[in-house]
Order: sequence, then C-alpha cells, then structure tokens
Amino acid sequence: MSIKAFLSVLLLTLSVSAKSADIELWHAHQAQDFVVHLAEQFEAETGQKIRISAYKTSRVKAELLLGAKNNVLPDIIFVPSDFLGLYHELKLNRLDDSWLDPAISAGAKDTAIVDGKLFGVPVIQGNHLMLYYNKSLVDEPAATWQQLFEQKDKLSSKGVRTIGWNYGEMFWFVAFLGAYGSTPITNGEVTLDTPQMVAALRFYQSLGSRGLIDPACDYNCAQKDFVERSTAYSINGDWAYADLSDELGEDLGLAILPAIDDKPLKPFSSTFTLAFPRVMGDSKRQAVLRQFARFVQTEAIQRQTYQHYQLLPTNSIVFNALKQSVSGQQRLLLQQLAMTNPMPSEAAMAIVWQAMAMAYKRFVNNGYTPEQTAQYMQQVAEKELARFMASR
Amino acid sequence: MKIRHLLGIVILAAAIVPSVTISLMLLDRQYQATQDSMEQELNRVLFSMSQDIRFKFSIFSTNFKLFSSERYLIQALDSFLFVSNAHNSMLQFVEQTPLVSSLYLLDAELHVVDEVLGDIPSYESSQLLADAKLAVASGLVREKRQHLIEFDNDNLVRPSRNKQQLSTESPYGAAVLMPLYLHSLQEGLTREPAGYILAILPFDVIYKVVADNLGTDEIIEILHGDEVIVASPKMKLLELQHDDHMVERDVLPLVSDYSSNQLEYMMQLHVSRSARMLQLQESMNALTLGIAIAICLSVLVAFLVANWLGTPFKQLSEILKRFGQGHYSSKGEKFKFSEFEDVRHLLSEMGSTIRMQLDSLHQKNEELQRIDDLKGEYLTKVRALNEQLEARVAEKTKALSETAAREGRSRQILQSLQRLSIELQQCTEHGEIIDLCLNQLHELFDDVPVALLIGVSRASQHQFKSLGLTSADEQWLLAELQQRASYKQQSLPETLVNQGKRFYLFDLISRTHNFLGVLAFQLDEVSPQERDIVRVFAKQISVITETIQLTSELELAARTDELTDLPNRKAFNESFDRCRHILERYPTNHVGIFVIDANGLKRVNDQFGHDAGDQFIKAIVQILLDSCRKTDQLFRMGGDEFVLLVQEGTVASCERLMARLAEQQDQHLVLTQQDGSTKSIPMSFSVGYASSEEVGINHLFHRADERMYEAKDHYYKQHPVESDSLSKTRLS
Repeated sequence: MSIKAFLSVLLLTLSVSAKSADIELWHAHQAQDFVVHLAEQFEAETGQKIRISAYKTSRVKAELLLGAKNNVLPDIIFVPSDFLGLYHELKLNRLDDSWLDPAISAGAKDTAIVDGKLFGVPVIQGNHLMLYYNKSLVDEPAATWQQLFEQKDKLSSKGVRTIGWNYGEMFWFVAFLGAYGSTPITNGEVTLDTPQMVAALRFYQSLGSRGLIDPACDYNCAQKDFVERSTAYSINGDWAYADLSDELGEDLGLAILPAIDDKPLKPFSSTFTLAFPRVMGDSKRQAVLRQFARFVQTEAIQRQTYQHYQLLPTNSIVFNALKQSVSGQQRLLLQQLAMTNPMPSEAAMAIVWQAMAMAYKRFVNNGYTPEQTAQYMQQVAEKELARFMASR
Repeated sequence: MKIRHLLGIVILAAAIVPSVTISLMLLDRQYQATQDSMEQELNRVLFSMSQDIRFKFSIFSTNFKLFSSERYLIQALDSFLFVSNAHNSMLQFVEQTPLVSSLYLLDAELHVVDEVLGDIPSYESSQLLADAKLAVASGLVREKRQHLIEFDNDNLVRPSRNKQQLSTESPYGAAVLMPLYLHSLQEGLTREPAGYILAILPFDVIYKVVADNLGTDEIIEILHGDEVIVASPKMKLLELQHDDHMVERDVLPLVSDYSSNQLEYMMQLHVSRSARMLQLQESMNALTLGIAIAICLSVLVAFLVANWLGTPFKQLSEILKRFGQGHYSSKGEKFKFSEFEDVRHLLSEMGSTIRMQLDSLHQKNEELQRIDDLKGEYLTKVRALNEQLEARVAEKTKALSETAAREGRSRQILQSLQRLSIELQQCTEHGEIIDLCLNQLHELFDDVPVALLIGVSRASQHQFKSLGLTSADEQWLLAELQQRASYKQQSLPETLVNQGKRFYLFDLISRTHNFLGVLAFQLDEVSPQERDIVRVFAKQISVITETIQLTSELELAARTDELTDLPNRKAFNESFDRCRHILERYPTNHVGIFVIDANGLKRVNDQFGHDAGDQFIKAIVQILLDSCRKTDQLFRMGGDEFVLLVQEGTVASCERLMARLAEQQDQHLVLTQQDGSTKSIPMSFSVGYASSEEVGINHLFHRADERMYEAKDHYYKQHPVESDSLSKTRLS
C-alpha cells in the first residue's frame, strides 16, 4: 500500500467517524444525473448523504442571493465560475489550495480565483457553446453563416427551420461579440460601447430579420424543436450533449460554430465549480466538505465525468489523456474549447449580464439602434456597477 | 245555390270560426310573451356581462395584490441583480392575466426599472405618468390599495393587439398602480414605498372579454359619458340599418375590494330586431302549425257531418234531375228523413199522370209528322220544275248572246273588208298588199299568226311575209308553199301540220284560174264562218294582185324587144336619162356607150328568110351578152342595131370591152334549112364606142355612133358584097 492509498483510507475512516448531518447542495446544471452521480458516489464511499436541490438556471442566482440575504444558504453550491465574483453577496468561504487536487489544470484553477483569492473548486470545464445538427436533415454541416443562409431554402422546402437557440439570452450573443474580437469586460473594465458591439448587434439582428431563426424562441423551445427535428441546427452548450445524444442517437452531429465570413465565433468558456457559503463554522463539517471537494477531483471520478456524461474534466492528467485518446465528434468538443474566451469571474460580470439584457430588450422591442443599444449597455452597466460596489 | 252546399258552408263556418278566433288570440299572447322575454333576456345578457367584467376585474385585482408581494419585484428595486428574475415573474403574470397587456416596475420616483410588453419612451412622455405622479403626490396611492387611472394613449395599449388577436383598435385603457414595500411583512410602520408596479388594462381587451359572450346578432359598445371608447367594427353596418335594432344600457364599473377608487363606464348593447324576430318566428311557426292541424281536423269533421246531412238532399236532387229527364220512377230508393219520403211519393204519382199525357201527345205528333212529309215531297217537285225553267232561260239567253256576238263580229268583218277593199285599191305593189293584208288579218283574227305568199309573174319574183310566226315556222312554211306553188295547176291542201302546229291554207286564184298566191293561218281550228270570211279576203287580194300583175306586164311589154327579150329603145332612153342624172350629180363617175350594128342581116333575111334573120339576131345578141359584164346593159334599138350601156365606163374599161368584142368577131351561125341541110353563116358586127371621160354626156351617143359607122365603113370596104348596109341611117 502506498502512502497515498494509506492516507485515503485514513481520510475515509476519519470521514466516517466524522459523519454529520446531511449536506445540502444547490445547483442548476442541466446534467442533473451527473450531480446525483457525484453525490451517490461520495455517499457510497463515505456514507455521508448529500441532499441535492436543482434550480432553474435563470433563477438559481436570485435564489442564492435571496438565500444569502436571509441566511438560508446550503453547504455547497455547484455553479458556473462567474458566480464566484459575487463571493461577498453569496457569503462564500475563501478556500486554500488544500481544497484542490494537485492535478487540477492551471486554467481551471484560474477561473475560481477572484480578486486574487480562491473561492471555488472547479469540477468540470468547458461549459461552452457548440453547433449541433441533425444528420438526417443536413449532409454537410455549415462552416459559415453564409453557408447556413444557402441551406435555408432547401430546408424550408422540407418544412424545417434552419437553426434555433436561446436567441434573447446574452450568453449566446457573447459568442458573436467574440467573433468581432471583443468581450464585455476587458482587463477588468466594462467594454460594451464599442464598434465591435455595434457590428455584432447588427449582424445578430439580421439573423432574425432574414428568417434564419425565430427570435421568439427561448432555450426550451429551441431544444424541443431540435429534438423533434423541426430545426436542423441548434447552438447549445456542451452540457446538453448527453441529453441530445439520448434523443437523437446516431442522427446527432457536432460541429464547430459557424464563422462570420473568416471570423470564427468565440463563445465564453468557464468551469462549474463547487463553492461553500459560510454557513457554519463547524470544522468537522468543513472537513467533510473539503473531503467531497477532493473526492470529485480524483482521477477516477473525473474520468467517469467524461465517460458517462461527456463533460470535460478539470483534472489535468485525465484531461491530457483525454486529448490524446479522443477522436471523431468528441475531438470537436476540445477544438471548440480551444476557440473560446474564458468568462471573467469578477463581480462586474454579473452586472454586465443584466445591463446587456436590459439594453438588448430595448434594442428588440423599442427600436433602439445598435449604437444606442451599445451606449445604453455601457451606461447601465457603469451606473449599476458603481451602485453595486458602493453597497458592498 | 243548393241547400246542401249552404248547409255544408254553415257547418264548416261553425267549425272554423271559433278555432281561428282562439288561434289568433293564442298567437297574440304568444307574441307578447316572446317580446317580453326578449327584453328580459337582453337585460339578463347585459347584467351577466357586467357581472362577468366585475368578476374578472376582481380576480385580476386579487392576483395583482398577491403579485405585488412577489419578492423578486421588491428585490429588483433594491438590487440590479434581481431585475431579470423580476422580469420573468412579470412576464409570467402578464401571460396568465388576460386583462393585462403590459406591466411596468417603477422605482419610488416612478422611473422604469423594468417592463414587460411595455413601451418605455411612450410611458415616459405620457399623461399617464403625470397623472400617476399627481396621484402619488396627493396621497391617493396607499399601501395595499390599487389606484385606478384612465388614459388615452395608443402606444401604451398597442402591445395588447400583438398579445391577443383583437378586432378593435381603441386607444383607451385603465392603469392600475400599486405601491411596493421592501419589508412587506412588517405591519404597522409608516413607510415610504420602495417602488410601484403598474398594470395596463386596454379597453380592447376588456371589450374582448365582453364580446366573447355575445351572440351573432348582438353588438356592444363601451362609453365614457357620451363618448364611445370602444365599439364593435360591426357598428358601422348597424348605423346604416338603425331602425332594425334594439338598444339596452347598463353601468360598467371597474372596481374591486382592493381599489381605492372606481372608474365607471356604460355598456350599450345593440340587438338586431330581425334576428330576434327569427326566434319569435320559429315559435310562432310551431304554434301556427298546431293551429293549422286543429283547423284541418275541424274541417274534416265538418265535411263528414255536412256530407251525412247533405246526402238526402243530393238523392232528392238526383230524383228531380231524372224527373226532369223523363225518368219518373223512384221505386227502391228510401230516404232517411220522412219529409223527403213524402216528396218522393208525390213525385211518383205526378210521374204516372205525366206519362199518360205524353203518350197522347206522341200519337198526335206522329200524325203531324205524316202531313209534314207530304208537304215536303210537294215542295221538292216544285223546286225541280223551277230549276228546269231556269236552265232553259239561261240556255236561251246564252244563244241570244252568241247570236249578238256573231252579228257584231260579222259587222266588224264587213267593215274590215270594206276598209281593206278601199285600201287595196290604192296599192301599186305586191309588198304593200302583203303588209296591208297581214296587218288587217292579224288584227281581225285576234293576233292569229298569218302569212302571205304572192307568186311569180313575168314582171316580178314571188314575195312572202308573215306576222306572228316563229322564224323556224316561217322558213318551213315558205319552203312548203314555194314547193307547192311551183305546181300551179295542182290544188293546195286545206291544211299543213308542222310539229303539232296546224296551218290553214287559202289560195289566191285569178279570174282566169291562174295561181296567184297563198294565204296561211296558224290555227287549231277554223269555223266555217271564219273560213268564208277568209275566202272573201282571199278573193279581194286575188283581184288586186291580178290587177297589179297585169299592169306590170303591160309596162314590161312596152319596154322589151319581143324577139330578143332585150330592153328596147324606150328603155334605153329611160336608162340613159338616169345615167345622165347620176353623172350630173357625181361628175367623177363615168359611163361608156357602145353602138353595135350586126353586119349582113339583110343578106341573111334575103337569102334564108326572116326566121333565119331572127336566129341570126339572137345569135349576135348571145355573143354580145357573153362578152359584156353583168352590170352592163344591152338594148336592141331596132333591126340589127344594139346599144351597150357600160357602167364605170372609163376609156380604159371601154377599150378592154372593145378588145373582148373583137375576139368574138367572125363566128358562124349554123342554120338548118327546110330541106334538112345546114348552112354556116358568118357573123360579125361593127362597133363604135365613146366614154364620158373623153366626151360630154350629151355628145356621147353621137360620138359612139360616128365611130360605129367608121367601123362599118371599114368592114364594107373589106366585104364589098355587103355594102347594102351603108344605106342605113344613123341612129342618133
């Protein structure tokens, strides 16, 4: 038995002896089975039960903030890394490196560091958008938006709409902004009122006005249409791969997001991290939580993460082995990841998302020009960010 | 009018009149009841609409109150991070609340924090915002109470038209403003609201809630005072036919347990009278059908009763009808009623009496008939006698008419004959006779085709003419008549027939029974009388024709040499005078004269007798005739002297004739003597000529004569034995 194995057994023994009340975990990850799997595996290993509460993605942040206000937060939250920017509002515990597996990839670790402090444990990475298509409707996936427009008439003749995604959600829009070489926050500054934003808005609007996509369709509608083969393409996150594969089977095709002429789309990538609100000062409970954090980073669990749920591991050993071994469509997941912008984790990102959404509504409903919209985004973001920072 | 018919009508009237009267009363009651129920129903409809709106507004108001305590709304007022969650909640509320078209989340200064399906620029510039500020400042907007504000702004209500498919376009709406508090659970504290939630309720949507309950013939409009806020698009059609609808009004209040004030409107319901009347009509139709069936049954019963009562009348009527036709027996027929039975007995007895009287009348009639027959026979005979008499009278009358016609005809013919006789006597030529006769006969015999041939005489050729004949018939008839006329002694047939056409022939005979000609008629039949008439005509024509022929022959004899048949000196003089006159008129014409004298005639006469001399002369004449042209004329001037008158007699042509005559000199005449021997006698002649081309006409003969004598002299010098001829004198 090696020292490592001995330590593990010792830890497990300690954990069993330190078994306490059920651990509460809140999350909004679409691959709910994956989260349940982690809990079950941990319980099988340690006997420690974890109670899981799944929230809608759109509501989880508000619920956490409200929970924090009312001091009703869970032990663990499993959230995208940009939530960590609200570490003050969510009352997150600052962590040290003992919470991290030594094999964690440096990039993944960076997403969990805000203001120079570690607030989360990255479990899976990627979390980026991909182009999905239905092989029974499309022979060769489009590499550019121009090609998509060219396929539109042929698909219409079959009664099939070309493409669908959560058109009104800014997470998708940011990929187009990335194609024009910009991100909402650059070097810690809000950069929304830019020519790149204006160009991206104009192009994004044209997709709806030229009938390529139904602007009224939200996330559920887009996924439903794609599964029911009413749309030929869909843009969705890597988190949806398992579900879509279950529905479409062999017909599901995966491709790199279409480029705007020679400009490839650059979606945000991030990590899903475990974070730990300061609920209790109980050191024993903290130990169990850390034990869980280390457990999900182990090679075995990280391997299963990919093998069972096609989610990219943060463990660099497993990830590197995966990069070597993967082929076919799976390789595209990694290729697309290589073409992403990392999502900033600072608090400003949460404000920026809101500001972008508000301004975009005026762009769509109230006839704002792209220039006015970009200006309004910047204006709201700066105002609300100042108010937010003042309230901290 | 028959009693049984009258009886039937009375029974029918007794059955129908009460039924119809009752039916009309029923229908009237039914109509009144339906009218009343219609008005009640309208009131009910209006009331239920009003209640429906109250109920729905009340539900909205309750839900809105609950929604105002939605934590995301309150948190969004405090933290920007909750805005999207507040937005989702507001969106959900709007989708689930039919009356609401849009929501605005407002901060304490009524600035928009977020909105759903709203129009921020329109809101910010609207009167509604001003009114809301005024209400807040006036303290009308109180905790847990909803303040209602009416507004008129099309931009604020427009989203409702996209949300629901609406048929109206009203700019009016009601806004419901409710304050929001950060710590809603804490009671009893006087606090300032953190913000407000504002719901927009367009009247288009309120109208739709009301209109969903309307029937097809119902139209509603909502009024504020007298101003129409929203009305059905059908209102325009209704205005065109304003006489055809009923109107009911009711109050429409917008108020609830949670509202601090009330908005009041009027609902006006229009119902098409004709459409409602259709319903009334249907119930009236059902009632009418029932009444009609009842009346039909009454009529049927009345008919049966009338028939039962009317049957004896009918039987009695038939007995009377038969009685009238002579059938007086009515045995075996029994009436239901004894009164009719008595009448039947009476009729039967009357019948027996009448039958006896009829028999007697019948006998008398037969006798009268016999007398009448006799009278008829007598009248028939008288009629036959009359007819015979009339026939004989007609016959006599016809005979008399014919006799008179014949007399008239005879008179006409006699007059015609008389006229013809006079006119014929003035004729000098056959042509005139023919024309006159044909015209006269053609006229007399009513355009009967007629032809006349006058035969050949020494003085003239035959002449033929017809009137009314076809050219084919004319040619055929001429050929036939010429052929038959050549046999002068043969009598002509009475008729000739050509292709079914009959020609009657009448010959013209001289007093010496010589044939003069033929008169022909194309007739199918000729009466003896007509035949006689034509014969008289023929006789007349014959006389005149013969006279003309005789005259002509006399004239010819005076100008002809008997021995040679040549024209004599008299004829020459006349011809020469004519030539002279011609030359005087046409001086370029020329005439030549040859004077010829036969040599040795005296010697022939002396030696062989005058017959031989005559033959000698004839032979000389023949030689001269052979030598000259047909246009030339040869005259015997006397004895052995001849003159040849040459037409176109230029010097040259005279010279050529002279040459031809010279060639004929010295021929011989062979004479057969009495003893049978023959003697050849030389024949010659002396010739002298002159042409008017070289000599004047008056000296022409003289010059020719001189030259003949010169030739004669020359001849006798060569033949001295015949010098006796020199003793001749000159002709000129």
